[in-house]
Amino acid sequence: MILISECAAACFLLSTFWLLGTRFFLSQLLAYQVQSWALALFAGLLAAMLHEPSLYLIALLTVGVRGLWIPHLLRQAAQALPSRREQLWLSIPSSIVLGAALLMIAVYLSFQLLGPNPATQITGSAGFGLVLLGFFLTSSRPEAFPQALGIFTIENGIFLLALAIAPTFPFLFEGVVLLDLLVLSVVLRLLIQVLAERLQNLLTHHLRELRG
Amino acid sequence: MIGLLLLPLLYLPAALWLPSASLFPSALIFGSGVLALSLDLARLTLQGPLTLAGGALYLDGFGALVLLSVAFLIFQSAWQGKAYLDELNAPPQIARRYWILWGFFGLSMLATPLLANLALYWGLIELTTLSSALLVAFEESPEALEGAWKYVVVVSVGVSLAFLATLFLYAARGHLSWPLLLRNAASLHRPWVLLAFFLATLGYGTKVGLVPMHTWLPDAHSVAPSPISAMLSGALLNTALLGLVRFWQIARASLGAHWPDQTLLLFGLLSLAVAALSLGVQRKTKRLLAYSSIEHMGLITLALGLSAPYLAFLQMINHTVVKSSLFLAAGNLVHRLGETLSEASGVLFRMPITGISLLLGGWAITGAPPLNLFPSEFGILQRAFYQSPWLGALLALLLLIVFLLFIGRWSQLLFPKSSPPPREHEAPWTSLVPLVLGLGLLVWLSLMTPLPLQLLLRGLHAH
Repeated sequence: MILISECAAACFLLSTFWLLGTRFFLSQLLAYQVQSWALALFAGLLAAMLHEPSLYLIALLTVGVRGLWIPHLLRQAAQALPSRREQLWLSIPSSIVLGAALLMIAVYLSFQLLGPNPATQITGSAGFGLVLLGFFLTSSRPEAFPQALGIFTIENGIFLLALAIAPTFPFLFEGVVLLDLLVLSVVLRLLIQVLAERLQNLLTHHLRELRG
Repeated sequence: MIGLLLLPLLYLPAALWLPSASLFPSALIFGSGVLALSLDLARLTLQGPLTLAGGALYLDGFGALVLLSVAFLIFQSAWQGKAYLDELNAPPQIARRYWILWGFFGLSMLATPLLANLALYWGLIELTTLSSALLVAFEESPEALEGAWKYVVVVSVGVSLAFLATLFLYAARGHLSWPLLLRNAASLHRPWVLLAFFLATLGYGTKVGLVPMHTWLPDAHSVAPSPISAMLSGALLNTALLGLVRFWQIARASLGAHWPDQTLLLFGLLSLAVAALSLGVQRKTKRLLAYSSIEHMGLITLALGLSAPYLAFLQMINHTVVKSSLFLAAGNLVHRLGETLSEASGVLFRMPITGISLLLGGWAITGAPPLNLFPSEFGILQRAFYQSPWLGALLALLLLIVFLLFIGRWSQLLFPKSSPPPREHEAPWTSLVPLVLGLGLLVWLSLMTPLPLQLLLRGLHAH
């Protein structure tokens, strides 16, 4: 169990740092997709170990919604964008260093809050890490596309935390989150498309009409 | 309860298929039906909380107050929706899109106070964000898109913290029904309850518009179509407040009053202070009203922190009645006279009916006597003095700043700079009906607190 948790945590964090370390939209999307597939695989392995049928269903739905549907919608949005790469406020190396600092905080939080079980602590570290790195991605990137990916990364982190804290959580929990993700992805896709059409770019720092 | 949820489910297919000319009447029927059913449900809660479907649906007194505020806003905004679309010269398919999104937004808000399950409640709160974001962006202007984007990003990120809070509460006990959690609060794992409460305060506090998570609120409320601004301010904030109050109740029952109360006191005071100081620099009418909403949410949170839920909920109801009418009145003048206070200067003479409602509502919203917000604000002030003279003095100072700055800006809007300007066309009657209704309610609540409302509030206080 510990080995699986370690491998899964490494996979989640590598994909998130990949997301943080690239400025190409399609590469960011691929990183998110890898993260989501790893999440589904982890849920599937957990289902096999705990003999929990609802977790199999959750793993399947995770593949469908997080691994296929959301990347499909965002790929459509990315193809409509006037540029293939984003402009940055913060250089990539600075983002990686700050991301690593946030990961330290995530590990500390997990070890402080989630009890003595090493597998829970490792999975929890990755979960808190994804949440904090998602926050960082959303707040540090000037363009709408990576901001949207930041929100989806936070959602992946919360799902991972749910698996760490209460692996046998009711199906309702993940059902609600997946439904929310479905609607959120459609709304973000629509907004990104209209922003790109009306403003010819996705730089949210160009949106400065509303102040004070 | 089932009837209340079925009504929007009947309205939505009707909005999809009915001819364009029938959309407004069907929205009115939907709004009236929802209001009538909500009043009946609120009456039934006077005898105690209502439960249905094995406890999945649950309505207590506070839920009934939130439900009433949502239903009232659905009814009011249905009237003004037609005038808004007429002024926009919206083609039939755009008007249909508006009515469908409006119905969807209304449905998601109506269901929130009825659910006992905290995860389902969270899902609905997210749904209210997503359905209303498309309404905020409805006009597709750069400002509207900016407001909608900030709204979705900030609130989605914030509300994800509330989901973590729900997760921790689940881990603390193993179920998600808030009445059960409240009943068994003493046996919950206390560190996780504390963590859950802080996360919920940040998460639902974002949606309520508490400082420093409030940044989306002035943008979204000021750029949305006015009927939607009224719904966002008068109803949506209350539905998010419901989540905050549920977590506060559970945390108090589990941890004692100290930490939960102190946390809300701090957020309330901070929100009140920032909103008070921001009022003086606002140039746009709806943005000024949006900052006033932050001030009111701060005051409600502060009242909860002072262990005065009676006053907090009375303030919430009064805020709903007055702020919704003010946003609707602002909608009447934004398209005719302009968005800024100076462009619409002299509205009292240019559009007398709208002007009188702005005069009355503007005076009421500052908490000045003798109108309906005065008793609740004065009660909160008394309570603050009772807790600590310093806190009372600080609150009195902030309320005075709010009064002076708001009235200063508002008088620019109401009165002309020099000679009285010529009369403009008054808003159409479909816009004036909800205003007159809102003002009638304002006057009624100023003269007395109706007995059923008193009973609901007293029941909550005892609880």
